[in-house]
Amino acid sequence: MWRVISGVFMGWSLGANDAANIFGTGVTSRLIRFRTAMGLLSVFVLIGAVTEGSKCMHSLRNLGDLGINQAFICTLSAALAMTILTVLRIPASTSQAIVGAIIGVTLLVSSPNWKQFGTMVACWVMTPIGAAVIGYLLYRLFDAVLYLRVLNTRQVERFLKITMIVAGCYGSYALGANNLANTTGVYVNTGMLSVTQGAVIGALAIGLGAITYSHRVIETVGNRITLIGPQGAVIATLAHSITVHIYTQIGVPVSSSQAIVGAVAGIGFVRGMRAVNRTVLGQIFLGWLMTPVLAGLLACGGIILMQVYPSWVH
Amino acid sequence: MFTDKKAREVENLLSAHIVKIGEVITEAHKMILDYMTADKVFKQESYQVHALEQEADSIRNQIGEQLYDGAFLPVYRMDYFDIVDRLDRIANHAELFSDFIYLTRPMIPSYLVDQMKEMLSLNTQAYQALAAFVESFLGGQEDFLAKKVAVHQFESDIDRVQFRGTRIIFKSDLRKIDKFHLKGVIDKFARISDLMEDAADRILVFAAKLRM
Repeated sequence: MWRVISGVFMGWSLGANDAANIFGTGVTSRLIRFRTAMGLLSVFVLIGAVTEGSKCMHSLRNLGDLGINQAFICTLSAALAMTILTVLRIPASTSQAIVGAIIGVTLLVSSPNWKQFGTMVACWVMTPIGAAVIGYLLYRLFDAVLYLRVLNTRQVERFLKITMIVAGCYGSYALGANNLANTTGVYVNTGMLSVTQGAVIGALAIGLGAITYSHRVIETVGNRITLIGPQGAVIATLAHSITVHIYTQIGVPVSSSQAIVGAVAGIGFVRGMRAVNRTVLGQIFLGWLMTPVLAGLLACGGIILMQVYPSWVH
Repeated sequence: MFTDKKAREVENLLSAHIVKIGEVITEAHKMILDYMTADKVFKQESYQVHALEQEADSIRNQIGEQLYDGAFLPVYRMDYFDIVDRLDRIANHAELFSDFIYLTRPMIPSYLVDQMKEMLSLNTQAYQALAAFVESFLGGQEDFLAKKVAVHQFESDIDRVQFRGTRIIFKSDLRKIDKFHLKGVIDKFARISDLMEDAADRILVFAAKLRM
């Protein structure tokens, strides 16, 4: 059971990084208080994890069969890869890390399901693009329907606060449903944990990461607000949440960070500005490449180490 | 989370600010009218313009304090303060105009009195239109754009009277120094309505920001 600790570490890292994608702009623009935001996030991540968290676990299982020790190596490698890339300031995705680690392990011990992997890669590429399209369409929709009315400042603020809470809760739900598989999914797939146990442990770890360490990430994410304004921030959060939830229905864990970047770019496109510069795009591509490769290499190293020194995981 | 008590307070203060600026302008108008009719009460009225302008400043400062205290989202606070600042400049300039009359005592010929009275009347109407525009903005009324157009219209009318008055001045037999002195009077007065239009434009920019 102690092996779950690497899943908890992964969940903590996910919560610390991805909470900013959901409530970052809301907190920095003072639409919602940090404590309220993180409280809501923790609750709705848990609800999403318990109700739909199992959907993306099947995809990870289809990548390749893992034993308990291999599952431990996978989550530990993915979490370490996340930490290393975060230190190097390269945007990393837990979804890509865990998939890279599973591929690394299955390359050594059996044979990966390349078709499933191809589907996942296609979904990763489509995540920011889909979020950009949804962001663009939502912006147009809001513009056409809701803002036909002339609103005063107080009405606009109230509207923004309510929609930010709704979008944030939905985003938290979608994060729990989609990314839970990255934390405890491999343990559930090995039969070590039940789906409910995996959901509760994973969601609590994500909530813990959000509450304890997301504040710093949120502060750095705050500069988005100057780019797209509070209205754009709310719509970006909603577009991100819809995108992540769609991929949950497909059963593929995707990157929350890349979804929000895509959504911001879509809104920026409506406004005729350069919302994403080449550096940001370059970082995304680097993240796409580096995260699964590094996690896979670490996982391979872990498996080799386990074979040479079999006692260290027992 | 959804209480907007401070925001309401700012809106109430903004309404009070608008009323006070209106009083400054009215007093400045009375002052120049009494000056033109050689009524010595204009001196007292000039002091009164000062007193009213200080009251407008005080309201402006209270709005600033409320904004600092957390009224409205941070992203909107600067817009609000800028609007209040621009409205306050109207009162400042009315005071400046009053001081100019009081301190430099221009000789206003009888043939220019009608132009001055027409400008005063248009200036009053322009400010009423601006006040209505601000109130409709605060109330989120549908027709607030039409009220903005009214401010612009009155400002244009004042510009025409200013041009006509300046031509009359420079066609007259007055000494050059008196001509430029009178031109200063007319220009300073016309500037008040320019500032009204600037404030209305700034409100429109903010209203656009509040939309998408």
